[in-house]
Amino acid sequence: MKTLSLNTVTPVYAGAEYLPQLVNKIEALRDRWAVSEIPLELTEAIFVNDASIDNSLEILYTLQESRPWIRIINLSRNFGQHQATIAGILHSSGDWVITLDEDLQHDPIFIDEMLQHTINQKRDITFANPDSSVHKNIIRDWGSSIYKNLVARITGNRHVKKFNSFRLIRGDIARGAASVCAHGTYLDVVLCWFTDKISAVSLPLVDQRFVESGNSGYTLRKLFSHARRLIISSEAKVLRFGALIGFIAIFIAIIFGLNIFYDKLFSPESIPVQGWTSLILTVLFFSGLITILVGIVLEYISVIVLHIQGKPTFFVVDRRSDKALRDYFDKNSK
Amino acid sequence: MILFQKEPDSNSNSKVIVLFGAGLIGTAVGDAINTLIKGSWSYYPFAWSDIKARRKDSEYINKSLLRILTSINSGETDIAFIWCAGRAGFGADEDDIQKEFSSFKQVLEIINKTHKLNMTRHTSVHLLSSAGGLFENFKLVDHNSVPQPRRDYGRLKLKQEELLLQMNASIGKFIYRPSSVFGYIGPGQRMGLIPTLLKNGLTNKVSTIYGNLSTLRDYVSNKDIGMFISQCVLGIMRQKRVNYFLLASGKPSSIYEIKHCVERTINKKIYLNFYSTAETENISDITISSLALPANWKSADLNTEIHAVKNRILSGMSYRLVADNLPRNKTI
Repeated sequence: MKTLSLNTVTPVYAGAEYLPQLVNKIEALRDRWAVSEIPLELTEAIFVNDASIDNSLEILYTLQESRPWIRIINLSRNFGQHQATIAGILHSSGDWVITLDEDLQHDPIFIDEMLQHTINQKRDITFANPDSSVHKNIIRDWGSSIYKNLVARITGNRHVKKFNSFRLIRGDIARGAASVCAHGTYLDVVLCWFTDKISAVSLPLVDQRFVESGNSGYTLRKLFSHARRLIISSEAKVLRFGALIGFIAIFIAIIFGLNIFYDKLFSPESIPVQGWTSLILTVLFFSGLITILVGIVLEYISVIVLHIQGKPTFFVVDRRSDKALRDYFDKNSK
Repeated sequence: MILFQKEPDSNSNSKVIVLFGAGLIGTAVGDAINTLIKGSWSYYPFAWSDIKARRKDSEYINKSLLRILTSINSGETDIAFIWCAGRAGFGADEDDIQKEFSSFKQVLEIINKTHKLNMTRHTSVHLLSSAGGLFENFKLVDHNSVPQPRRDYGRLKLKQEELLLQMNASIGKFIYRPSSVFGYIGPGQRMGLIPTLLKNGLTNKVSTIYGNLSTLRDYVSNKDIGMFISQCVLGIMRQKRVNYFLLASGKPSSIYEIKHCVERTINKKIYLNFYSTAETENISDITISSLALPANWKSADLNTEIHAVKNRILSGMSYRLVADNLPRNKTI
């Protein structure tokens, strides 16, 4: 009997064309593991029907008839990819959870590689990152890359650049993160609250749907919404930068104020225009003070928002079961 | 012991329902039966600890049943016995186990005696077992899973099931294996993890957890179980002679998820203390496959039910329609 289990989670929105092939690939992996010595079993493939716009649900039910390990979660309306993924994770019970898109952009054949990487690097999460252009569209690929870099800078979260919806997550952490996600939170940011043992592995990922048809599951509006949630969920370190500017303004005002006071006492003739400098210094001082106070208020709000979003005080994880997988990979790499 | 009696009508035969146990599940079953059928009910004492008193109570129950069956058109009567009793929980000691087992055997004697009277059209026995006790440390339990109890409580449940299966073949046997049950039936009563966290959270008390934050369980409301069992008892659903039912939501939840749901529901942080010894440790995952759930089984959404339980606790309302309104001295 296999000691460890893995679940796949796939949000479904418009995947009718790809689902049979995806299920076949997952089944091939499942069957291969079943006859191999790997102490891991693919116990459930969870598909979350996010009010799909095609006949994906019917296809899934048909596929499930001969595959009892397929689990279908049917959402009451379209909640979006992240929410659907969260719902899927919350229905999982595996020691490991892997999330993958419906459109074969994320080939299940790479799960082995991601798993081995995660275990060897002693990580909790591994994101798959494309080793070349995903959409074969410079604007889209560069736009995504530039935005992620920008957010990484603003938020100070170095993992943002690795974020991808093809992710292997330790089950406990996946469920912990999914359970605190509220409306508007970005799953990957929340995952970073639970662990910093995060890595990325380069894989040949291609958005077949976009390349072949020019259509993507993501409209421009959805991409903006995605980007907005990424920044909202993150701790904006820029707030502290604003407060720092306030401190600098006050410091400058105090230094120059002392200088002017000195001049007024000991060489008043050196001040050609009376009142102008003191006015500027007063404005500078109080602007700086207001900036600091606004920074403090925003910091308070940030703490409250993170509390509401469920940022944990601590989280306990047991990684001892990794040994069985490590032993397996060590044995097979020799 | 609570006895329901329903006169025959144009749609169904007369029914006699004998319910042992008015705890978390028993109350919900009684309440659901009361909602589904209009009939009369009465209360009979059934001693739990005192063996002599229990024998005396059993004799009285048997005589009363004989009187009832004689007084009605008994050949057309369905009689159902429901065992929801038992104070033994996961951490039960030998004494609790013995008391429960001997009480259960006594109830089986009552059933056998009544059945031998041959005065009913159909007899069925409904036993509340435990998925957690039988399948501790199992993931995705389904119909193919073979029970492997790890502690006395699980072994007790398995023995109860085996005893039931040895009964006369003409008796309908219904074995319910619920997962982690929760619900609120009033102060001082067993309630399960979720209401405990809610209640302690609302009163700023510390809750002790014998598992860990990642422990996975499948939480199911006592109301859902009560409704399902009552439908089986009343014959609303056609069943076989021997029936096993896994009663769960099919959605595993970690204690961390429950903690967060509770905190969101009551809008405040809850205090937790993690404590475990070899005797009390309860960290194993127990999850149920959604494919193994009965076709006509319905379980409420967890978040919705947590809110409902919170409101019940806050209003101080227990929904023990049967047990609370019952005149304790009323007997037939």
